[in-house]
Amino acid sequence: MTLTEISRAIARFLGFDPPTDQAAAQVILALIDALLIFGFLMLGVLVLIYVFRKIVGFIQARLGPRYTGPRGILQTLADALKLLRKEDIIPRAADRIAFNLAPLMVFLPAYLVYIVIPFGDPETGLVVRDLNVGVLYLLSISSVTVIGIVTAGWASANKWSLLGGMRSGAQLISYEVPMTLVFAVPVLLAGSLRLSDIVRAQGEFFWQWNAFRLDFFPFTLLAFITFLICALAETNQTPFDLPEAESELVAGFHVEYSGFKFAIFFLAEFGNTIAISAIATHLFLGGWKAPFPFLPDSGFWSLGWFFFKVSLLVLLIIWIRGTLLRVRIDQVMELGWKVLLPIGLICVTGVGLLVSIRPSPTEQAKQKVAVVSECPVSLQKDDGPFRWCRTHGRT
Amino acid sequence: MGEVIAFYILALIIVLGALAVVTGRNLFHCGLSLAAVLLAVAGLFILNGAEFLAWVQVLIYVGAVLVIILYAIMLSENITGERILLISQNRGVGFAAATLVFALIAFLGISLSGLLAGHTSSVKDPVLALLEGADSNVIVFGTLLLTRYILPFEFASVFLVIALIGALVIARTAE
Repeated sequence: MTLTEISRAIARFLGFDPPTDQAAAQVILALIDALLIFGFLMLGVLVLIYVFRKIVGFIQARLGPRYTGPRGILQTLADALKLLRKEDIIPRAADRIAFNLAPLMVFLPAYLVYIVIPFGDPETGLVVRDLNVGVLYLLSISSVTVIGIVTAGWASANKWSLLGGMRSGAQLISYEVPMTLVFAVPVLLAGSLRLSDIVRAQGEFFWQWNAFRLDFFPFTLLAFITFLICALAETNQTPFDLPEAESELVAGFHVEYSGFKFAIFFLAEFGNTIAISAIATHLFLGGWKAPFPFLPDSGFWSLGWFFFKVSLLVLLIIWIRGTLLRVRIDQVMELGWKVLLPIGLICVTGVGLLVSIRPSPTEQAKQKVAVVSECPVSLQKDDGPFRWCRTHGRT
Repeated sequence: MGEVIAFYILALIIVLGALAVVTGRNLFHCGLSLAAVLLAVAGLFILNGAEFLAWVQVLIYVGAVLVIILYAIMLSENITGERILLISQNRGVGFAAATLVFALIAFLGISLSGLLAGHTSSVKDPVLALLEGADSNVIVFGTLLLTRYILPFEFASVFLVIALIGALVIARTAE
């Protein structure tokens, strides 16, 4: 059963019998899709927080949550309920409009990102919208988060939150630059901005995936590592959790937030962690593909492989969070601008050069089926940049 | 039908948001309204089938330019402890200029659409021909940018680098 079929079944259950061509039916189907994604986000974060607490507890030689439910699995739910029942306090000096809008502006991007992420093979229908500019969509949507954080910091009228918001803004902008650069590496290798195309362009064996592939050896691995570091910084995870450094800023940009609004910030942060792991999986770790071609990865197996890889990355992030210390703000900036940015430039230039000199096997396969005649004649004469058109035209 | 409704909703957001940007008293609220306007403009691009342009608009204008603007407002307002209130003194002039520009654009739009309606079928634009063959306009966009428009493209990037270095030089001497 595909995502569309599930939403259709739900629509039918609710009493709508939707033929696809009706605008109203499409709106209802889109709403159900949105609700399904929302449910996934909530469930994912609920599980993630429990796992996070247990693992960090293990790392710090504690037990973690134990009493609510068997082995404490209901602890997150109980905490969420507690937060929802809490009083909603707005400081007197705060800017009410911006203060109330900020959690929404942080949460919406974290939620909207999931629209283009395939949860498995898109042929099985496990994606909401497989946009042809998916990678660009991810970059642009996640860049909006900064505004919410800066607004939260400003509107609270509190020096700690202001400093937290400013640090966060500086950090997010700085790490967006190398992140955008390394996003270009899988795009160059696949010749498409669509996430499913990027996954399909990666090989069947795990050493042909973008992170480990040998034909572009130092560049793609470097790009993957750079991506992971930027991902940690973008999601405010531990070595880079300066925006909410407890020891110096109390809690950073969300000091003044309580109850439901605080819960939304929390939800967005953990939602972003899952999303960034999913993006790393698709861009560098072969998406929904099994590590060996003889293992099944079609249909619902793809869902399993996808979640397996995402879980591994999330565990890696938790492990780093439980192990590493927080770095200083000037060190964060220096790492971003003086180390990661040059590395990102080297990766993009290197891969770009290699792609233009020798097309990768997947490119060659594409080239064979590419219909040259679809480009206008005036463009066919010339070689050089027009090769792009020929290799990347409709197959 | 759906497109028309979407257009009017977006147009409403753009007009009201733009009014809020120029008439608002609180600088930070003006910045946030500008964000709404820019996002709605991206929505207009999507309605016209220009997804690439739409998301680049969000990435650069909302994700970068606007953040810098908000940053500057935040630094000037909360660090110095002064509340900056906007009082526009020449509203009349501004209104007149805006009306003139609007009239100009409307006139151009109407006359151009009349011109275009005259000769749509006769000569096929090579760009349109490219668009028909490709499954996404990103490919066409990139191809054109690196072929026909390579000179303006490279010129723009050199120009940006010059601006960047200039800003660095100014910031250095001020230190």
